[in-house]
Order: sequence, then structure tokens, then C-alpha cells
Amino acid sequence: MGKKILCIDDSSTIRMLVKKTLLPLDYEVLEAENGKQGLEMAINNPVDLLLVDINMPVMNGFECVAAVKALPQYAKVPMVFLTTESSQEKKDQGRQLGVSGWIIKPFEPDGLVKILRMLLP
Amino acid sequence: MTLRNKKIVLAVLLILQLVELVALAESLVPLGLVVPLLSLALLAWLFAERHHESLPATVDRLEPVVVMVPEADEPSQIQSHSPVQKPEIDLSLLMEQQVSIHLAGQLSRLVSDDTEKAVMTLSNSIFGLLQTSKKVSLNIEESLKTLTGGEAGLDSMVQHLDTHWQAFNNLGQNFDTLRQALEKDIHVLSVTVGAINEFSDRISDLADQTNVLAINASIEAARVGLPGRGFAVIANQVQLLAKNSKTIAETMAETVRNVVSTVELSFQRQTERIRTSEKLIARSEHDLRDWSQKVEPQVQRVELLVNQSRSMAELVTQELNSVTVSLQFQDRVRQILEHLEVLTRSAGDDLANLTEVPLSGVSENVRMRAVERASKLFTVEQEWSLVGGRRSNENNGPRVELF
Repeated sequence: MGKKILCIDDSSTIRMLVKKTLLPLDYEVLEAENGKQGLEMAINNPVDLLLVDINMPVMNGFECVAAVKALPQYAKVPMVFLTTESSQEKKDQGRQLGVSGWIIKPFEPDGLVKILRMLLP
Repeated sequence: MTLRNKKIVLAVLLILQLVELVALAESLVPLGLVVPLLSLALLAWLFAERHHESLPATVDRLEPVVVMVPEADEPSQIQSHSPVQKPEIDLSLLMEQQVSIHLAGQLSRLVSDDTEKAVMTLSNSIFGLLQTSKKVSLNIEESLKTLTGGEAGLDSMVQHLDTHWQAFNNLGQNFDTLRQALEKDIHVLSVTVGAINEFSDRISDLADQTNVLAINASIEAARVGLPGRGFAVIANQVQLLAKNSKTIAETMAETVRNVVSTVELSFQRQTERIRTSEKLIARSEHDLRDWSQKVEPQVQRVELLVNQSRSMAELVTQELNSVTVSLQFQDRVRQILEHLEVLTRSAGDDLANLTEVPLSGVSENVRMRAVERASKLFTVEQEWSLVGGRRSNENNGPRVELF
């Protein structure tokens, strides 16, 4: 198996689409349906990159990224927001948190793969 | 009706309009029909309320005195105990709306669940197709590469054919040169044999002349008599020599003729063989050229197929991008429907608070009225399942039937 990606999104459809897009390219995709579950998975299963939605129940994407970034082992792990949010304000908020990229939904598989290959050469 | 309750009704209306918008956008026929009906009912109710009196005044006055009619089998009413005004609110209609809103929420959930299932199934199918398409394309490409490339491939075969054709061409030229040299040698031999024959004829002539000379010498020796005897002997010897010379010349000429005949026959045979070989070479060369010309377009066609196969795989990938985007839009609709379901449930709860009757407490008559009104619009089995199933069995036949 190749690089390990953690996809945190409350939509099972999005998680499935991400998985279907990345599995044939030899990525391993882990899934979590909210920020809290994602944080727990990140702690228990070291991953190479996180794809995080913003608007989620229990713990939103910003809170999740902030929590994961605070973990020493994830200080340099790239994180990308995969969200319907597109405002500059939100993007600035993400940049301040230290995320590496921003993909607006609906995403195209090619675009997702391109960004992942840039972040995980 | 209090201002708060008025707001609730307006919120319900807003939700219903949202449901209708989504339903219309996604061609969800059942919702698209149920929702306007519910909206109209609520609007009619509001309209009736507004014609009684101004809302705040009515609300303030009615709120303390509204009570629910305990018997719900007949159309219930909220009655005022005020001795002055007794405005009536059809409580059963409110409860009917309560049931209708609950049904609308269930329909939202139904559509949401079905949409999710459909998106999942479609995604699995599409990505499955993509993988299959990629595999097929890859296999085609590899097979065609094997067919065209490598030592046993078509490209190599064409090259071999060209090489062999060139070799045959050279061989043909060599045979042509050989035949020409042979013909030249035959000509030289013929000239040489002609010269030998000429020499032989001259020797034979010389022998004849010598013989005549010897005969004349014998005659002269006889005429001389005894002293000429010795000369006569010499003349006889000379005559014998001339005969022998002639015999040798004739034998030599005969031998040369035999040799020449054999050589000429051999040359003719060789020339014939060379010509036959030349013809075979020419035919093989032509065949090779023909094969080469036939194989070459096939190789080009194979290359074209490889390119087409590659383009098709790229096209499928591009199409997958748009399909994936569409699936996400479907997912958005599902999420909106989920939100609508929550809002509808909340509105239903508010209506329950307003009527002070929980959904489970609504009488069977009222519930049936709401169900009957909604079920007039039902077109799919799942909708019927929400209200306990279709009452008639008209759809129990086979799915496909020939009459």
C-alpha cells in the first residue's frame, strides 16, 4: 500500500468518492464521519495526509485540524480542506491554521489527485 | 393564534416551499405534489384567520381561552369561553396538518435515503466501469504492443520482410550477372571451338595436299625406276603420314564437336536453371513485397487502435470527472433533504405544542384524512409503505407481462 490518507467528512458519499478515486492509485484511505472521530483515528493510525470537511457535526473541520496540528507527530503532515466553503475569510482562517490546500466541493477526481501528488510526491 | 404560532405556521410554509423547490429541481414528483397541497391548506387557513380579525388582537384575545375539544372523531374546534366572542379554530385541521407535515418529513427522509442509495450504487457502477475500461484499455494496449513490438512483432516482421526482399533482390541480380557471364562464356567457347574447327580443317586440307604430293612423288619415283625406289618408300611414308594426320585432325574435330556439344548442353541446362531460379526469385521477391505491403497497413491500423484505445481511456477519465461532480450535487440534494426533514420535524413538534396533542394522540379519523389526501398523490410503492401500504393489490402482478 502507498500513502495513507484520512478523509474526514460527514457525507458518506464524499468519503466513498474520495476512496474510489484514490484506491486505484495505490493510496490507502481511512474514513471518519466527524472531526472528533477523525482526531481519534489520526492519533491511533498515523497518516500521511488529511482531507477534512469543514461543516460537520460533533467537531467541525477547523476544530479538528487545530487539534490534529497540535499533535507533535502531525506538525508537518499536510492537511487539505475539502469543503463547500469558498469565502476568503474561511480560507484565511484555514491558512492561519496551517493547512496546505483548499478544494471546493464538488471536486473533480483529477484535481484531487493533482493536489495530493503535489503534497505527497 | 399567538404571534409565535403564526411564525411557526409561516416557518412551516417556508420549509414546504423549500421542499417544493428541491423537489421540482430534482424532479421528485411525489414531494412536488404533496408540498403544494400542504402549502395551499396552510395558506387557506391563514387567509381564513386573517379575515376574522387582525392577528395580534385575535392572538391576545384567544390565547387564554383556547381549549381543545376532547372528542377528535368529529372535526374538532377550539372554542372560546368568552361570553362576548367565540371565534372558532378548526383544531382538527391543525392536527391534520400535523400529520401531513410528519408525512412530508418522512417523504424527505425516504427521498434522502433513496438518493443516498442511488448515489452509492451509481458511484460503485461508474467507478467499476472506469476500472474495467482502464483494464481493458491497458490490456488492448499491451496486446497490441506485443503484436507490433518485439522480435516476433509485426514491426519486426515488416523489417524482416524488407530485409529478405532486399536479399532476394540482390540474389536475383547475382543470378542475372551469373547468367550473363555464362552466356558470355558460351560465346567465347563457341568462338574458340570455331577456331579449333578451322585449324582442324586446315590440318585436314594439309594432309590431303600432302597425300596428293606423296602420290605424285610415288609416280615420279616409279618413273625413275630403280634409283627412285628409295624415294618411293619415302613417298609412301609421307602418304601414310598424311593419312594419319588427316585421321588425327578428323578425330580431333570430332572430339571437339563432342566436347562442345556436351558443354553447350551443360550451358543450356545451367542457363535454364538460372532462368528458372531467377523466375522463382522474382516471384518470391514479389510475394515478399506484397506481404510487406499488406502487413504495413495492418501495423498502422494496430497503432491507430492503440491510440484510439488510449484516447478512449482518457475520455472515460474525463467523463468520470463530470459524473463525480454530478454525484456530489446529488449528495447536496440529499443533505438538503435531511435538513428539511429536521426542520419539518421541528415544525411538527411546534404544531404539536400548538395543538397540545402529540402526533400519537391524533385521532384515527384525522390521521386518515391526512393520509387519504396525501395518498391521492402517491405514485410509488415506497410512499404507500409510509402509511402502512397500499390498500388495493392492483400492483401484485408480474413486472413485465405480455397480453
